[in-house]
Amino acid sequence: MTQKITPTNSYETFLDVYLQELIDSPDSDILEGLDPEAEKAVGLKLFAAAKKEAGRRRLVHARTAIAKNMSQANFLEVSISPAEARAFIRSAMNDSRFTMAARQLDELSDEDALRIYMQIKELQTSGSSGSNGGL
Amino acid sequence: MLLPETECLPVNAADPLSKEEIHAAIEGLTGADFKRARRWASRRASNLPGWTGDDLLSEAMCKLLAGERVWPRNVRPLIVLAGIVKSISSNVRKGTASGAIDHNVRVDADIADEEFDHTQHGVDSIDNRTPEASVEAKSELIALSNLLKGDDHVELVAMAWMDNLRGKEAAEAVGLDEKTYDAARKRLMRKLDEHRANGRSA
Repeated sequence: MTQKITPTNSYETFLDVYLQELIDSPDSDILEGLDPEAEKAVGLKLFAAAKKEAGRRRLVHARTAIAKNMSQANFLEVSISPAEARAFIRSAMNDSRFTMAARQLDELSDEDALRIYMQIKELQTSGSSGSNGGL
Repeated sequence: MLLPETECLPVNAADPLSKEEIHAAIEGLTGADFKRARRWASRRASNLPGWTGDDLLSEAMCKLLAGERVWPRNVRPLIVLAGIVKSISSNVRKGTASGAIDHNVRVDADIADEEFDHTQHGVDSIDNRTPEASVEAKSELIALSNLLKGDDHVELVAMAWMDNLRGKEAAEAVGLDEKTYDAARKRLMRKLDEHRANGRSA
């Protein structure tokens, strides 16, 4: 297949040939009197910088993933109101897997109502049927 | 361009080197190999705003270590590094041209992509036929022409390279005897070594 000759193709071809020439040239031509150990030290210094940066990026990715999970959990928590959470808990009290004194429900703070809602949801999701979940 | 760097061993992109193997391979490079990689990266960084060749090379190694790029088994270090350096420089150029750099976009279509795909999640191929790339290439060709001006034989060698010719074939194509061609080729290699041109020893 004939490739159209363009400035881009010409320059890229030139660079590709240059790379091949670099690869094929003997070490003595590449170094031209430079100390190979010193050149290696320069390369390893670049590698050390790369290692440091790669570690930093992995840390950032890990933190981002954790933050994302936290964000999703928070979204779940705030996606219902305390009143809705209480209604859900009241309904769940009919489920034999969960036990809680009825009088406790009205005494719960909004925060506790949401927390218990989350716990029940988690227990339901984990499918821990057969075991009582005392709250 | 096909680069026969696998020495007849099968390239296996599905079985990339582990991080430990990547460490060992890079740490095992000779001073001359590091110099080759730096010279190539330096050439790739020419006219790349804000980047040096060493920046490009370090970024390429970083991408390998961070798992953003893979190193297919049986592919030599220089080929892997050169391909990634080329991709990064192309991405930077595209980002510069469009005014926004998305560091999360990975681009394949490296030098050795005809042999393998060494990206894990490559999404776009480099398309060098864009108007921006064409303008950029013209600019590079003008810069190259200025660099080589005054040495007719070196200019002839460069023209042969642009036609993807090397060695005896290139010498015949531009009408130079092999000895003259080789001397001009060596002068061209020196001119392309930016570290030397800038008066730096490294």
